[in-house]
Amino acid sequence: MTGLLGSEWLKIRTTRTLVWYLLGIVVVVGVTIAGQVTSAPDNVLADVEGFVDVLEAATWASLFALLFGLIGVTGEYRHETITQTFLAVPVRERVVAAKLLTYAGAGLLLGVVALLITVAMALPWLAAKGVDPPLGERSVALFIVGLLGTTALWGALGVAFATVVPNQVAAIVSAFVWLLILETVLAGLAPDVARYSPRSAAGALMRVEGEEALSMWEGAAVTLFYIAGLAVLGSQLVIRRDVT
Amino acid sequence: MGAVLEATGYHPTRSGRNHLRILAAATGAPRERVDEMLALVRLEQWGRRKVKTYSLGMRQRLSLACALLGDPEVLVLDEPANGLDPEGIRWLRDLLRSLSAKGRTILISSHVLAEIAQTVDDVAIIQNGRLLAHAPLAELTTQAAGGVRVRTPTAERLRDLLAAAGVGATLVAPDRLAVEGTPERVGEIAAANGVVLHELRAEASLEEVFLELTGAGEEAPP
Repeated sequence: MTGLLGSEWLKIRTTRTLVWYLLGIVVVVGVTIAGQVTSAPDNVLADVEGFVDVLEAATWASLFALLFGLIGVTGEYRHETITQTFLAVPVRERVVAAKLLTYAGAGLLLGVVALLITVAMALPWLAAKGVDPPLGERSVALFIVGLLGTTALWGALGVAFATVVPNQVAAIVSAFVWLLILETVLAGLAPDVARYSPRSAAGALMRVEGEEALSMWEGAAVTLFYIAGLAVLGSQLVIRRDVT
Repeated sequence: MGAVLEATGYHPTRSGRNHLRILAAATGAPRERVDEMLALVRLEQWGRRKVKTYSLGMRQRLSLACALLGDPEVLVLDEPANGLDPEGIRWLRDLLRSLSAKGRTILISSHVLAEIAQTVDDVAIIQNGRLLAHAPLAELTTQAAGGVRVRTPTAERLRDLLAAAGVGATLVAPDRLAVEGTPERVGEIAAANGVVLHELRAEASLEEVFLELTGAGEEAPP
């Protein structure tokens, strides 16, 4: 398994994709923080909730982690490298397991980078405005733990979903249709069910959802359930099929 | 077991060397093998360049490096000479010969029969999933000839002359005859009657064997 993890990590390192994702995070997070800091009044920024709102810019990383995981699987199908991958490791479930772990790690990395950028941009900005950020607060620490947990889990979630939909375009489109449209519809129609949706679960984990949301632990458990469910489904039904 | 099936399956912006490193990590092959294999397929200079800059022949050689990475006992190659230049084809033949000399088993599937005939020991001819023949190459070509192969611009005339001399001959192509006799006898009859011979040999080419066995002899090859 160590060799497989090393192989997957090499795959990530030997293309430019990760660099583009990191750049994407810098841009998107930067723009978001700029918007937050300029639009929020100083008194809101000084209290804990206002500060966590600013840090929420880093939650973009979870979306990047999801995409990165998706591409980690679908990219192999697209470039047909999957053939050699499966020839080298005939037990395909092991490849899926290695990818789940590797892309959880990559997601964590993306989360850390997003958080560092957020803090590096927000702190001097706030200091220049004479605002003292409540860095030591418990809820700030919880948000950070939740954020990093979410980016790691969503990296794996991307892999798990892509095992069910290995076509790159189909995977990306369906993931975004789900996250941006269907979840919103679901929240309107059946809020009780929508609490358990992937996006709401992540929101609960990062503590950015409203009062009726799940607890952090529940959010993490629900997300893990989705990852396991999709990965098992994909491994049994889709990944077994002939490639090229 | 190692296999070269197609010269595809490479990420375009990943280097050939990195493809080998990934494969080595996944299969547990020693790391030094990566550069050894690059040198073996003569891609040392190109190892760190992106695969999208490679020619078909270079990808083919990279595939071979991937297949040999695990030092397999059995090597399966599908059209391995595809995209190689004449020098590359000769290099490949020598490489396969040296592997075979080390006791490795190599299976090649190909439709470039002239090339295959220079490389292999044993031949298996398969048509529509049915094994038509399986024998050492030399045995197959001498046995299938059933006599002498003649190529001449006046094949029909020579056939009649041979028949008159009591030598059986059949027309296998407009300019080719399969003769039940010895090369000496055919040569003498041809010379006595002033027939020009372009070719006279006692064994069939692999192509002729193939066409005869698959029953495509009289028709134009597809």
